[in-house]
Amino acid sequence: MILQTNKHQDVLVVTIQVKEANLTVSEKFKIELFAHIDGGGKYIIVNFEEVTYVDSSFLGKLVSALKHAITNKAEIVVAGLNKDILGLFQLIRLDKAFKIFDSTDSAIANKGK
Amino acid sequence: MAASISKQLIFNYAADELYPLVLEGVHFLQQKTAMEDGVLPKVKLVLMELLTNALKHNGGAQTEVWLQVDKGNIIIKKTDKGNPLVIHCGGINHEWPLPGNHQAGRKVCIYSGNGSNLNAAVKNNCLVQFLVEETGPEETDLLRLPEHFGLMIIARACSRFAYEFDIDTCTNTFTAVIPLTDSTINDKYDK
Repeated sequence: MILQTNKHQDVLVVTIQVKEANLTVSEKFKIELFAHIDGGGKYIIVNFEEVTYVDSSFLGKLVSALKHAITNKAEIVVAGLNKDILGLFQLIRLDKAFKIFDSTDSAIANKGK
Repeated sequence: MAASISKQLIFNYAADELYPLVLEGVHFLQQKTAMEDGVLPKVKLVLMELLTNALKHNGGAQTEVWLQVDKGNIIIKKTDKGNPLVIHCGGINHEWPLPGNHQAGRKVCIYSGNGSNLNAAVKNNCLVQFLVEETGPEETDLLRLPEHFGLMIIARACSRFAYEFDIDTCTNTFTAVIPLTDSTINDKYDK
């Protein structure tokens, strides 16, 4: 398991438990995240607090999960990005596709807004 | 290599070597040259994506990465003798070297979506330059977002990004150029 889950009422926080979010774990990440969407999660916060870097293959799976969430009428937001990862989201404009929060607390507070 | 400062990194096709090698390259550049704040994260992204590309596509060949600092630029060259570049576009596989003698000027779209295209501008049968073309506002239909970002990340982080296949030696070379001054990303579009 690379995702640790915590439920806060109807919010699911999934924390990525690897420092290097890369090609070697991206497929597993996708499978686990899809399972949470298929399991009925409607507001899922993907928490990057423990992640040092993200590569393109991992981002591709995150986008794939976003699409899967949309077709299941669910929402995926991201939280806890370090400066480098936030810069990467901005570089390829994914900051326009995902709601980005400093922390899981602020992402939880945003639900329904 | 005729450059003022240079370093070679060897990547042996092992995922656990990738990030330490990126850090080794970044550390070398930090020690050897002054650069603006925004430059180093771009170097890190380019190294990471070039090596990830090798891991995904080159078929297991040893990869060499050369770092050079010359004339106000960081130049990153990745070479290997693995699989050549293949671009899937419109149901067609474009494999390098491209066949025929009249390829110069062709443009092959690699990815499209989220308000931009990544194009491969063909210079000749063996040489292409990757160019970002802004096509409009960001994607509002998120279901149309692209899911492949590797080459786009490198192209956006660089002022110049190209691929060349050497027919004599069957060597693939990706070259990425990052200005030491962050504000001088001025060569993004083909001139």
